Amino acid sequence: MRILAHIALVVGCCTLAAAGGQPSAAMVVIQGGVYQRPLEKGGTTRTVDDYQLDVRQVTNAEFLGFVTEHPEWQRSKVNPLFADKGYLVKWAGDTELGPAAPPNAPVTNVSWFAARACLKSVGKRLPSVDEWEFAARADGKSADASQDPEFKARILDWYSRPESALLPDAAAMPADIHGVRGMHGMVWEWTSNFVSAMTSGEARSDGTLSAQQFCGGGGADPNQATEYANFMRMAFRSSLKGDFCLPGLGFRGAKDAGPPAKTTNTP
Amino acid sequence: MKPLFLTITLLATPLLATPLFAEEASHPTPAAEKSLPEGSIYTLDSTWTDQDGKSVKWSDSVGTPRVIALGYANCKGICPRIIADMQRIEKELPPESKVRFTFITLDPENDTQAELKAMAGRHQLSPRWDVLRSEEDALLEMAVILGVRFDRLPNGIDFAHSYLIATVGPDGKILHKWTDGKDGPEASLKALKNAAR
Repeated sequence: MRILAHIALVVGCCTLAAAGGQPSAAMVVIQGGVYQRPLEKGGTTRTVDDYQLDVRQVTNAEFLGFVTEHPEWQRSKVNPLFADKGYLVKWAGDTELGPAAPPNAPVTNVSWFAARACLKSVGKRLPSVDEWEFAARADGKSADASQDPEFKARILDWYSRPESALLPDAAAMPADIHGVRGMHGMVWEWTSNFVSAMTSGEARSDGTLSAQQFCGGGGADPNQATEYANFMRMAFRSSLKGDFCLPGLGFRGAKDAGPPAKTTNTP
Repeated sequence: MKPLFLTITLLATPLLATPLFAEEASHPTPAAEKSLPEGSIYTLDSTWTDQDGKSVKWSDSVGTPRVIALGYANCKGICPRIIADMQRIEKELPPESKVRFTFITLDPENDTQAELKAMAGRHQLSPRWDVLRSEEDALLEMAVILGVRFDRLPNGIDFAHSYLIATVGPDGKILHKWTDGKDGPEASLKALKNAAR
């Protein structure tokens, strides 16, 4: 009994408290490497260490488990510093999902702070921008499909589609070569250091980088038109604030690559 | 892991009941008697170390207006300018003012306490200044709350980061953000003046 409870604490973002005992997402190890961060000028490269990534986004049911265990994150109780008025707005109540929030769909309308707290409660964290982008280059056949025109076209097609009212199951998308699902085509996702994106200035309407606003800015080169999808993601990140709760923005967990753990959960 | 809000409430309550400074004991401000308002950064639970190695928490600041900026010790770009602009605010304050100045490093990895102490010396920071470092996590949280954007550049030494000087009231509410280097300190000073009333 004690062992079971321990496993639940370690593994589940919110496991047992959720109606139906929704298990938390399984993780896969992503082998790190040197990569060229999209849109970065001058051929400089970034090194990404090995890390673990959730195979899918955190679901409504899992987040319900989290707020049940941590009432300070319930809609009516959340510190307004940490979430705007859109927080969990699709849910029927503080601890009730309702018809607009299917249990197995990715949870959305969650702030960066809430996402972070939920993951922290199960020993996970948000992936960094580099970790997210590094994994997001994969398709079903290759770990780096980023130069494949068909891959790019698929992503852009998703970006141009209107948001669907009801999200499908978080595990509904096909798995890529790592076994990770829905990096593209489901929802946008929070990253730990989204504040590193600086394509447009917050205080200016013309969207240009200003030397008055950023020190050492201008590292990004949005002129690589072929990397339009990357540009969209970077522009999106640069427009975010930590308390934003948006209908198309969810999250998944990451972790440093530690020694392989026994997995007791399902994908 | 801990319920953050609960922790904050527990921490803040005794501090509110026990005045931190003698001057507050004689002139209790109405704001400090009540619980902290929505949006107060003094509710944050992170722990920091100042240039003298002293451990500080935001709840220690209840009752103290602050002018806060983020940067790093060996910044050759806009940080010296940010510090100089904060000193422009400082120069205008009356000697009895309780306002304190906070400089938070974006680079806790390289900016050790000794580095920050040396930086304070180079910029001739007065005793009103707290130069703080913490864990990456606490730093990110503060940057996100204030709206500071930053990124370590590929050279591994420098950062791209926002020009931002935040003015915070005695209750921890963000009163003003100075985000354009072309502006002067007037708006920050006005915010501090209004908060002192």
